[in-house]
This record gives sequence, structure tokens and C-alpha cells, in this order.
Amino acid sequence: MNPAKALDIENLKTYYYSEDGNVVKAVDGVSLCVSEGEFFALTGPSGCGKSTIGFSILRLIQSPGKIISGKVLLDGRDLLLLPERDMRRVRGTRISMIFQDPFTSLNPVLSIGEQVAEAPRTHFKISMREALEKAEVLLKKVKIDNPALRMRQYPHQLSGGQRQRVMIAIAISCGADFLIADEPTTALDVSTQAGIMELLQELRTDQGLSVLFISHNIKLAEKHCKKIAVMSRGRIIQRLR
Amino acid sequence: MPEERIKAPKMKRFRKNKLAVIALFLLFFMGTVAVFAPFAAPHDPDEIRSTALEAPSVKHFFGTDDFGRDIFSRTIYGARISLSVGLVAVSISVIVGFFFGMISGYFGGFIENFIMRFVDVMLSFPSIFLILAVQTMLTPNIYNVMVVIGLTSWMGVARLVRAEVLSVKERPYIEAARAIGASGPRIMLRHIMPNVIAPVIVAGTLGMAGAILTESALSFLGLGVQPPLSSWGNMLQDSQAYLRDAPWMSLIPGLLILFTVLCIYLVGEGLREEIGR
Repeated sequence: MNPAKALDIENLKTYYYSEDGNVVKAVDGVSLCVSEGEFFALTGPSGCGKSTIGFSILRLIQSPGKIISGKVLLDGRDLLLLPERDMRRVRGTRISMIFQDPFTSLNPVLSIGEQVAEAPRTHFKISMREALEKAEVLLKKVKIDNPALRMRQYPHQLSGGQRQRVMIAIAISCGADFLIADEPTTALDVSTQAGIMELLQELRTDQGLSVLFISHNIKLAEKHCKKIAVMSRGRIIQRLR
Repeated sequence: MPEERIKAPKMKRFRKNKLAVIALFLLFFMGTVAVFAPFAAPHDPDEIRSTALEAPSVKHFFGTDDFGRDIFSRTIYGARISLSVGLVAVSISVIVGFFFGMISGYFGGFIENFIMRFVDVMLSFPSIFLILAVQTMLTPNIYNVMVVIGLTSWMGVARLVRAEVLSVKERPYIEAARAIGASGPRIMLRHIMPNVIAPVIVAGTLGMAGAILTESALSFLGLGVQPPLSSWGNMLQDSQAYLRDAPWMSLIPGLLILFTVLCIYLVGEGLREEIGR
């Protein structure tokens, strides 16, 4: 046990209850542990519960889904037992998430600048001006070309890769050191994919970001991740390396 | 700047819509005249200037009314009342409608059901009778008129906003906002509201025409703006008895109401096409 644990999931169970009384055991007793600064891949076919784990960590499971049991430990605190208020604090400042489809995960009516600045303003009492300055620094950090111009543009004026970079900028804006990347490259072409993966790797080495990389692309996972867990039907069936 | 190039087509359709542009210009003109009524009007609207029911002339462009007051000046001051009643009443209805629509759309469940059934109840009142009943109980003055019209016309906005919120709140970017720890009110105000505002602007514009009509009807029935204050509605009422002897007395305010409402509708339609709903 040399590197410290960033996040420890023990025996997590998340079920969905359909109206006719059926229970779908989306996550059925999963345990995994991500160390600090680690790139951990969670792979498996569609519908095996990968994304549900991501949402469960942040407690964003919407009804009819429910977290039944288990523990999600962050610094020894069980996130599943936190009051909603504290949980909201954890989202963004400790753990963030980026999503599969960068085309729909940005708000179309807010400019990129406003949108990136919005994130720190949810957690810290800072003025819009400060937040905007911070946003520009963040956009530089995620290597968007011409940040000053991008700040004023709207999501539809950006390409998919650039939007995903904006999402990453938002995700790290409040100091989160754990990133859940839910299929971050699936909607992108191969070369853009490589760019995003490179960026994530860089953030990992530079800032000690731990990444839970959720993807059905095992090849990509093998290339970038030290540890890989393969899921099927809500359980981890194989651990590689 | 590439930005300019991309932004340019935005209001293009509206600008192409000549009728809407002319209508907007006319409304703007009327608004300006109303705001600067003391400078624009040639005479004091309440001053008795000449013999009653004088026909239009160079001295009195629109003639004089049954008390010998200058109708031209009275219509200008009346524009103040009619336009401000329209504006304030619509603001009230949009704010109230927005509030209830937002809450019921966002929270759903019992709250939504309760508010929406209340909306149904409000909608099933014939609102003009409700307004008349309330107005007979209150002292009829313009502030009451504004509030009463506003509070009986917010239901459409509430329904519209609720429907929009229902669709917006399921979009991934709302989930993303939640994932960085945004609170409920913050999501509503900063992330959902900007998406909902466009159709509300259209509805508000069209609602303003309705509010002006309702004010005219109320004043015509003697339950709206009280004399000696002039509004287009009560000028019409004053003119009833002289329809045959002094047709200009009823024609002028009547046509003004018609044109104003028409202009507002044209602008509203132009906006609707522009926004695409």
C-alpha cells in the first residue's frame, strides 16, 4: 500500500426499480480502489453499470434508481452518508465528472466564458470579473487555442474536442482532484481522442489528478491506464494488471 | 472578427420582416411621445379651451370633446396611461407566471399538480367578469387596473414556462451543472432560466396587446381609469353619446387602440418567427 487511496468503493449496490415491479441490478456489489494520481479504467459492454458507478459516487442517481448499500470512501468519509449539503460541496471541489457527449453537456445559451466562470462561482464567493479571469487561465490550461476569443463564443461555435476541453476546464475549476470521465472520448474521432487522453494524462502527472476512466474501448484503456477493471451485468468480472 | 460573421444572421429574419420593423418603429415613436407628453402635447389635456365638440382644425388637430378639451393632447396623455398599463400588467403577469411555471416544472410531483390545477381553475373563470367583479369592490384607479389585469393573465406564461422547464431540466448540461455541485436555485436561475426566456418574451409581447385591450374595455365600462385622467378607453366611453355629432371623438382613440395593438402583434409575430416557436 504505497500510494494513498484517492477513492475506495466497497461492495456498492445500485438498483433501478421499474414500474411493473422489476428490479434491475445495475451495480451489484462492486468494490474498487483508485490510488492518488492513478488512471483507473472501468470497461465493459453497454449497460453493464459503468456509468451508474460514476453517478453513484457523486450521488446523482435519479429515481427510480437507488443506491442500496455499500460504501464510497473519500478521505475515510463515507460519501453515501453525507448530508446533501456537504455532498454538494464535494461535487466540484473534490470530485468532478465529465460526460460522453460534449455536444449536449454545455449550455447552449451561455458563452464559454460565462459557463466556465459559473463553476467557481457555485462554490466560492468571488466576483464575476475574478471568475472570468480564472476561466481564461483554465482555458489556457486545457490548451484551447485562442482562449480570449473562445471566452466570448457559444458552444455551437466550438468543435467536439474543444467542447470536451471546456468540460474538463469546468471539472477542474474548483480544485477537484478526482475526475470521473464517463466515456469522454466516445463521441470524438480518433485524433481528437488522442488529444483529450493526452490532456488527461498531463493533468494527472502535473496536478496529481486521479481519473476513473469509464469506457467501452478496452484498447484505449490498455494504452493509457495502469489498472483496468472489466464489468459485466453489474459486477466486476476481471481485473487486469 | 469571425464572431461578427456568425452573429449577423441572428436578427436577419426579423429585419427582413418589414411589417414587424415598421411596427416596432411606430411603437417606439408612440412610446417616446407618451414619455415626453408634456412637451409633445400642444395643450393642457384637462384645460377647457373652446366650445364643445369642435371639428378637427389646424388649432385642434383632432377636434375637441364634449367639454371643449383638446382631443389631440388628451390622446397623447392617454397613450401614457394605456401603454404603461400594458407594460406594467404584462410585467406582473410574466413575473408571476415565470415564478409558478419554474417551480412547478422544476420540482414536479405534488407542487406541480397543485399549481397546474390552480392554473386550470383560474383559466376557467371568464376573466373579464372576474376583473369587473374585483374592480367594483376596489376603488377603480390605474394601479388597481394594472395589478388586476396582471394577476388574471399570468396562467398562459406559467404553462409555457413549465413546459419549457420540463424539457430543459432533463438535458445533459443540467446534469453536468449538478455534477459540479450547483444548488437547486442556482440551476434554476443560471442554467434553466436563460433557456426559457425566449418564448416568454414572445408571449409577453402578445400579452401586452391583450392587456391594452382589457384596459380599454374596463375604462369603457367605467371601471378602469377614472376621469379626468384620460385613457383611450375612457375617451371612447365619453364619446358614446356623440357618435353621430362628433365621430372624430370616438374614431381617434378607437383607431389608436387598433393600431397600437396591431403593431404589438406584428412585432410579437416577427419575434416568434425569429425565435422559431
